[in-house]
Amino acid sequence: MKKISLIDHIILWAGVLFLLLPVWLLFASSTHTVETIVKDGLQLLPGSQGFGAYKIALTEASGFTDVATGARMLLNSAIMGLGFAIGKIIVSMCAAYALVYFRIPFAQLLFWIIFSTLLLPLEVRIVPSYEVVSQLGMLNSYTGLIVPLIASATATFYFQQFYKTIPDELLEAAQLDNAGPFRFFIDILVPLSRTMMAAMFIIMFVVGWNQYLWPLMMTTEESYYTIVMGIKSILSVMREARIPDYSVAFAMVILSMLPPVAVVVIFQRWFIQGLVDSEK
Amino acid sequence: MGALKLSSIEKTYPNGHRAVRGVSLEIEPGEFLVLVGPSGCGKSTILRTIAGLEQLTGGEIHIAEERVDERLPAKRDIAMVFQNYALYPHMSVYKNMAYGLKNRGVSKEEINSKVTEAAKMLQLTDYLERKPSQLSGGQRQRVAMGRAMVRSPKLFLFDEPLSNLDARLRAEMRLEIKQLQRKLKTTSVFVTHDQVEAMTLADRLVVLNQGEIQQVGTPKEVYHQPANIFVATFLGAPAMNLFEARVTSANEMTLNDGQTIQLPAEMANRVEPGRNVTVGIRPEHLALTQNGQRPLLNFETGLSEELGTSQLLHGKIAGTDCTLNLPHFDQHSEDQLGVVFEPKHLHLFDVETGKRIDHG
Ligand SMILES: Nc1ncnc2c1ncn2[C@@H]1O[C@H](COP(=O)(O)OP(=O)(O)OP(=O)(O)O)[C@@H](O)[C@H]1O
Ligand SMILES: [Mg+2]
Repeated sequence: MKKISLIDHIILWAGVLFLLLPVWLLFASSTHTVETIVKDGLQLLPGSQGFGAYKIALTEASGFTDVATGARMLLNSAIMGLGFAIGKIIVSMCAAYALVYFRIPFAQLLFWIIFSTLLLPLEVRIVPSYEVVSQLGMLNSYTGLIVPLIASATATFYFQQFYKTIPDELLEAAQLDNAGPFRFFIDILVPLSRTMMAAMFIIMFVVGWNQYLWPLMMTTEESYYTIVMGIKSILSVMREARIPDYSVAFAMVILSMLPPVAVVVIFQRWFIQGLVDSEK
Repeated sequence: MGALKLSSIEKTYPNGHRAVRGVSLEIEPGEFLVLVGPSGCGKSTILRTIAGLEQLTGGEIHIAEERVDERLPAKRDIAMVFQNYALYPHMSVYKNMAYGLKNRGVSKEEINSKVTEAAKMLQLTDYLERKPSQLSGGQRQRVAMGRAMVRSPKLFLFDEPLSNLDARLRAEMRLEIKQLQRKLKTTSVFVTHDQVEAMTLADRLVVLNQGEIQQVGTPKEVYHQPANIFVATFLGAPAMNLFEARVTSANEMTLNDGQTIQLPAEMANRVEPGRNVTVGIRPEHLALTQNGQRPLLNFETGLSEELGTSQLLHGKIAGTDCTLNLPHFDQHSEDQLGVVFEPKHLHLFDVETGKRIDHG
């Protein structure tokens, strides 16, 4: 018994180390000078520069204009991630509500149409999507960054399955309590979906945060650059035959990981709490 | 002046199943009416059409002289208690009870006083801040009752509200519901498939089968003068014993194996000789012969079951399964016993239609 749990722990720790080591290497290296990194490669131990690189990453613009500082890019990413996650949750909750609780003509067909969009990820439809957004004049705007991405078949599907597990009597009781469709949604379905919403938020925020291709297509103004694009642009000075600012780039990578980690940590607690005092 | 009137209501489900077939009923104000019947007979369907949760496919429903079958559930002035309570899981007990009032624009003070009063009556005062998941089954049941009560509706509808409780709590809550209804004097329709519940709660009992009314009456009437074989066997546990018989003379019937039974005096000359009938007698109306009494029928003994207050003795009369409910516990080792009964306890039914042949 004891032995098994010892082995379990060894495996667990091995896994943790395996996953965390690259992150640690990045962090340790980001505290060294660029020269050390170029000469000696990645560093295991923290270096002499402290958090200097972080300050540069946050405050100094790397592009042609002065606006694309790390802080600005973090803000852009946050707006993108939040808009993406919240938008997806709202849209898919409403869609699922309509599909489950209303008698709509061809509901089944509609469902399959929504579902089949899973076969058409952004990468496949990026050219037409770009065309639409550009014709609407939404290039270089948060609306353009977020709105074309917020329809989500996956989230709709999850919410639909969740609503189907809610007993019909609850709807009937609400009907007798004079709650119309809107009241029922706001007062009953939304609070009951909290756990589900937290789970969706975790997933969708991280996905939104990590978007690369779409912002790259959509934004030409540096003020709309996201952090993921920023990392790339620091490293791409290589082309200009300069040594890229590795320590700053590493610092930026670490910075770009923090918000998603924070979201996961915070919402996971919610999520697990929701699962534990299951109320349904 | 009926509190609730059903005029030949019909419900055919979209899949073609005719769940309710022309049911007409009138309920007096303050009456406690119980719908009872086997599973699938359409009890819930009737209740749900009254509530407006199902659309009628025929007939009309009037509540206090107003036609309601076209109205939304919330506009019918009824309250319903569901089998699984259907409490809002994320709301406190207080909010659960207040929700219907809030949605009707009742003022905060009035909601507060009504909920507090209902909570007091239901002994829920200490639990108002709890969530339903933190309550016992009986307490949840009370909250569901409270949610119905606070609105002071014209009509209470109960759909098997006690079936999720254990036997003891069920008996307790049964009594509580009855007392509460007496106090509030709200007209109530209560659905159950449990005959004890039905008998004890009902002012009037409606026995249903396959979407049709079999009999309406007080529990006593229905038990002692069942209108047909279905009602006779549905009510009473163990069920009424039935035997095939043939009327052989003006005052005598013969069973399959040749044993004869005297027709009750008031039945003599009411059934013509040669007619086939079904004879019924309840297990508690059969007794064993004592000290030299002359047996009326022979009984082949089988297994016996001890119930505590009485003993069930299974066996056969004239080759037909038969059960005796005996008040005194005795071990019976004989193969054959003599059985006696009072003729007035005999029920006669027409073989073809199953209808009661009345004492007149
Ligand atoms: N939505 C529906 N669609 C089709 N048939 C239905 C539907 N609901 C109920 N039925 C059928 O109608 C009949 C009556 O159902 P109902 O729920 O009224 O029975 P019940 O008397 O309440 O039974 P129980 O005691 O099991 O609750 C059943 O045969 C059932 O299969
Ligand atoms: Mg039912």
